[in-house]
Amino acid sequence: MAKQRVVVLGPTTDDPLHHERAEMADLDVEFIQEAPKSEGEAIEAVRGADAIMMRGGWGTEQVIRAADAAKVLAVYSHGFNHIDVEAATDMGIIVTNGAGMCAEEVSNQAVTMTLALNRQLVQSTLQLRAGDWDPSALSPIGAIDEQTLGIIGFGNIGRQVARKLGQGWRMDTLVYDPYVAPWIISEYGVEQVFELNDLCERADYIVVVVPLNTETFHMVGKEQFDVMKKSAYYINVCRGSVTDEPAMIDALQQGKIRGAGLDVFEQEPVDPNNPLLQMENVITAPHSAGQSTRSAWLARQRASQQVAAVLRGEWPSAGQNPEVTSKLDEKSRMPGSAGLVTGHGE
Amino acid sequence: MSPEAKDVRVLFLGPKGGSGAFGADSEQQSKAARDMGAEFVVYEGDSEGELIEALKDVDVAINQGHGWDPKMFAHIGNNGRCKGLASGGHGFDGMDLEAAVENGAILSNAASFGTEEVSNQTMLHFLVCSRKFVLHDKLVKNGTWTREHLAPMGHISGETFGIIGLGNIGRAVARKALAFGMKVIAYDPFVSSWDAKEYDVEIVGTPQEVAKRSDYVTLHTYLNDQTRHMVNAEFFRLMKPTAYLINCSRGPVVDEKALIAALQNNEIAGAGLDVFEQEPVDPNNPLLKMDNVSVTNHYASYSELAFDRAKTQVGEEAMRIALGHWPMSLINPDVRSTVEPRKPAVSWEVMLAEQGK
Repeated sequence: MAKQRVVVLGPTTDDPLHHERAEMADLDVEFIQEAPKSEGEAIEAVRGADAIMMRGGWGTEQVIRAADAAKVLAVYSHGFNHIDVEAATDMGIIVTNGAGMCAEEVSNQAVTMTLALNRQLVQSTLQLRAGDWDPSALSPIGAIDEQTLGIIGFGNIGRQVARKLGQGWRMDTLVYDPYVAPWIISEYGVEQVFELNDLCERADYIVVVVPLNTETFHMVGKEQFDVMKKSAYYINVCRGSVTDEPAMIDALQQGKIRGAGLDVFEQEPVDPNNPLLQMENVITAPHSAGQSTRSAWLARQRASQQVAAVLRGEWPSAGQNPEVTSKLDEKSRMPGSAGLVTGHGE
Repeated sequence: MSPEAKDVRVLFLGPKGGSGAFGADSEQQSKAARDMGAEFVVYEGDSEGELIEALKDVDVAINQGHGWDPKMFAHIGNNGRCKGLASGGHGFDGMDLEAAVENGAILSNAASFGTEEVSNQTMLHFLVCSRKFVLHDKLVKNGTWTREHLAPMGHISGETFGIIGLGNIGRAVARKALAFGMKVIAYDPFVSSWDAKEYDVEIVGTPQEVAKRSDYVTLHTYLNDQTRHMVNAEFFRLMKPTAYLINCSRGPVVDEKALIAALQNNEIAGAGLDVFEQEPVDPNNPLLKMDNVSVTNHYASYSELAFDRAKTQVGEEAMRIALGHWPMSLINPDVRSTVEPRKPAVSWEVMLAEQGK
């Protein structure tokens, strides 16, 4: 059997691919690195590939439809909003992501922002720099163990946030996620709500951790900010466009909510004139929630493991389009799909 | 095209003769159908022909202890109106999954209805074993007050709890064992590394490693061809002589003859058993005579709440299947390759809201 072609699309063509090679050491594969500058080049690059690994863009329908031999398309990131999953499914290509690759880091960013907002950390720093020693200017500061946390999206990251803030800080925790099984909810001892606005009305801190897709685009908008408490904080560590940013800016300017913690923006890099950057009650980070020395290599290892599993004929542990199995013929049915975690709304 | 809720018909297949584990009535199983304005039909036939006829006019069937002949799959799934079977219990060891997949029949179970109860029963057997309760209860009641049989007795905190099968129940057990200060390790080839990390469990590559390292081994697998007799004579030889085996899953996961031999030869310290290879257990089974073995009669999953939940859940899963969604607990995921794409599983409350209920 001929060598299987693993095409890696990235910013460079001279990456050592240490983790990629190590995870596929037992397979007869050859790595081909491409750094396409245009969609046309990406289309050429993926033709005939048995597996595609993407460290960046080019997940458009045109490119995916050109991947006539591909069994798997692995993205290194958590989010795969840049991939046309529907086209991949139609082509019989399994799409995998870096599930769990930075859940630790992103959940810690959410916890950090929650605590920083609660403790008025940035505001107090700015105040002291301005020579103003007046602790009362920071009040009111809520007693966090009597406050309510609202988590939108109860996947790997949402669960870690619930474990850390819910169990660690003993916050009452509400969860909105229509796809999560009731037994996951009870294992974490959280309360599930079935309407997003219900969570927005009741929570003191609202943390959103959902993938960006057509269903979640602008899911938090004017209607949601209107029902939030005036004392509530909104924390987004997933994708900017999950929030209707102009509506959030309005809400902050009009004092409908008390502040926000933002790792992500609708436009990235963020426009330096974005009013959010001028607000003292908004703390920000440059989409760095997932970063750590570990996630940098774990992303590579995870993506490589996904590709290796598919090339071995197994269902990958981070397969994101299980409906693709209806396109796989009987011979290539994946026995490992018995391990598909159900009840996670896949 | 999936039917509208008002046009859905759900068939209830109750236990044949007798009342079965969940009783014969279907009041709670029919709740989901009633709430959605669907029709709920109780099967009263008694022959293959009658069942085939009944399946023709329904969108889904609930199977609660009725039994299911694999050749009936030829009449459901891709072959007819009835798209699948929602099973009322936890285990599905009687089900021919391969035949279901081939025929495009969607199968669900009442996942996790007894997670709390089974994990508690597991912890009960673990403590009873660890504290040598069976023996001392008997001695004290017989008027013997002695400490001579206590050693060896572990400290629990700092000891290793080994779990085979880290599903819902395994995870609940892990959470509880961690609360006792134990080190928790697990064998489960289907659990991702990030899930194991979230549950603070060390995943090991083989059941043998669990056997070697654990002070208590507990089993939380399904019974299938991979798990039948996975705990056998070789496994017991690897276990520490001071270690205990707890089984609240299915009897045949353990080679019971090998277990009896291991206990008789002091290869392990004792066992806590809710299940047996033959049930009801033979009154002459030597396991019932041993003072280092605690036994219960396969009721680990029982509480009124748990059984109510199972019955409600199976009705909800049936409606999900009938209305073109995936069930929350799909037990034959390979069926995704033989049926048309479906809508994702969503919370029952969301299903109701979508139907304007």
